[in-house]
Amino acid sequence: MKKQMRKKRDGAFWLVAPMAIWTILFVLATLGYILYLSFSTRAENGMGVTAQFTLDNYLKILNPSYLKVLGNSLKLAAITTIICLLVGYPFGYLMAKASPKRRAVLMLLVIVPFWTNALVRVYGWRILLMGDGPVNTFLLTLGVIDQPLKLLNTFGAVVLGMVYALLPFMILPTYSSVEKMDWTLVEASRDMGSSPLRAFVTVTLPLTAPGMLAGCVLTFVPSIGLFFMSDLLGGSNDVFLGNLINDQLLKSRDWPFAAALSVVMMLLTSLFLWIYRRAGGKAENIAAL
Amino acid sequence: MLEIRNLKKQFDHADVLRGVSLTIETGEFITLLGPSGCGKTTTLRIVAGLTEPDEGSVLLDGADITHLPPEKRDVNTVFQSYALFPHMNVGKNIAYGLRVRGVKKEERARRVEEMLRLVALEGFEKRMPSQLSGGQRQRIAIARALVLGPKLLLLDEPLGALDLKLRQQMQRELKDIQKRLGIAFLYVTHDQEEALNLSDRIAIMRDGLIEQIGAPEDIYERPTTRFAAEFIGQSNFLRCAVVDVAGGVPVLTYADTRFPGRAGGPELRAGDEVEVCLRLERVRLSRAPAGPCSLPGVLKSRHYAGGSIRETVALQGGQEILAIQQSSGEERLEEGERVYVSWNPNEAALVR
Repeated sequence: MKKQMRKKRDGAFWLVAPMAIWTILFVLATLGYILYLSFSTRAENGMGVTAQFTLDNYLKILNPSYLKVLGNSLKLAAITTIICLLVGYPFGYLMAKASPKRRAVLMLLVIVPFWTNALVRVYGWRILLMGDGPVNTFLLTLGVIDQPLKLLNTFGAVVLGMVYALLPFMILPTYSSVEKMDWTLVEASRDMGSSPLRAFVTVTLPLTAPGMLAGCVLTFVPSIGLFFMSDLLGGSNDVFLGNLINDQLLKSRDWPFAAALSVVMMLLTSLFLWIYRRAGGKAENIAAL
Repeated sequence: MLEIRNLKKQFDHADVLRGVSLTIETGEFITLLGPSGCGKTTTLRIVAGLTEPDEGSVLLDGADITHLPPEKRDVNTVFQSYALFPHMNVGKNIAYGLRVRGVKKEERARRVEEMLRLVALEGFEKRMPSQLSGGQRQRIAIARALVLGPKLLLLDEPLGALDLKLRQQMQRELKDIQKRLGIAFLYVTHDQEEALNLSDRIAIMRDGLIEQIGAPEDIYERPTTRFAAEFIGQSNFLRCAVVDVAGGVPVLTYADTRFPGRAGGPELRAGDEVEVCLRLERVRLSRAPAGPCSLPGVLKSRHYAGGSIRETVALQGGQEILAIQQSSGEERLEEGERVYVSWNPNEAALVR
């Protein structure tokens, strides 16, 4: 009896093993290494690290110019999330209410851009926003403006790129929560005297809030880390956490500092996920993360 | 009080309502009875304002409300799925309509308590709908719809999701509430038992039209069509030819036997075909002919079922007749025996 049980457990172990090995090797080990780096000292010659424990890397983050980068990142993430919510919720709502045929078309419009490399699409935006690009040419021809606008390399362009890239992550969860709505509840609300607007605010909105919350997490968290958007669309002043890590790692070669910044970013991300769970959000709604 | 005039409605080019007219008096319990797809729920939704008719009108106390949105009508609905708001507790669910109307907090609390007492669920204010049983949800849905004091309550198969025992109990309670409040109920069901137990009048619907409307007894005793007769009660339908209609009482014939039919049925002429609706429990079996309506046959089967006996007779002429008799009957008939099927012509409606 006992032997059999043990055999069963052994079988389970081997089933889980590949997954466990994968996780240990590529997630835990690398995370551990980053943690180790963040407490190490930069080597004298500037290349690599020496294993000397220090807290300097973390203290360095408290430098006002770096704190400003952190603040910038949170601001960008917040603005991106709010715009995504304002655009994505109505889109998801209309998609859920549309006829099956229209719904398929809208769904395709959301998903097809995914099939192209994100970097290529951002280059597309560069071309569109250039001084002599189509947007400026169009506005000049119409006579709306008489000087080309500076569209590229601005904070606005970064926000645009972010919203563009992350909008599907807002649309899909809101769509799925609106799609699951029991519309009899709205009818019941109307039956008891609510105007369409009041029925939406008191019934539809609270019942689709989980989808909105999931969408906000799915846009907010990645927008802290997306670095190539500001590299390609932002100006020289638009430095965010992602860029800073990238620069420290590849240009300044300050691996310990880059590692410390990464740890801070991961902690921030975890914090938001924790808040999401505390607010009653379900893990499966944000499984895409 | 409520008048429905010639409602017509199409969905995807299919006729759902083809001219439904109905009048409901104050305090009346009216049931729309019919198979699924007959248009009964659509009629209810049009009265509630949740569906727009293509043609026809709805008048409440003489005022045309056909094109008013649901929130502007003095009518409330109990939905089939109850439609309780899952994010609000019982008290908030019931108070919802009062809140929309701007009723003060103390008054709201008082009315909620009153409604909970009406449905015998005092002290349930703080429960969430997910914590309630099916029967309790049903009661809360009724309380929520009644709190605004509507002139007419619409109920869309409200007991459909409950088990038999609970359904019977809720039937009694519904009838009780309706009598106590004295408001009109328009009730939709496909369950004849429910319709018979609850209604002052039943409207039998078929393919977007009202087939027959009347008191339960009326419809049971005097069905005007085979469909109505089939929908309420259990019957045999004996297909006969009309021989003569002179003198007011039609003379019918089946397998060369002549017998009288009930007067006052549909317009008949000699040579017409008509069906005699023989209720199972009104058919008598005996060894000798009994009365003017007796047809010979052979007893094919006999099933003893406690208080009653179910018997099948094959008539000379082919048709089988099912009969339910009290098991205390004097004569014990044996399978294979020659018997007579007889009935009182005044208890057998003629239908087409």
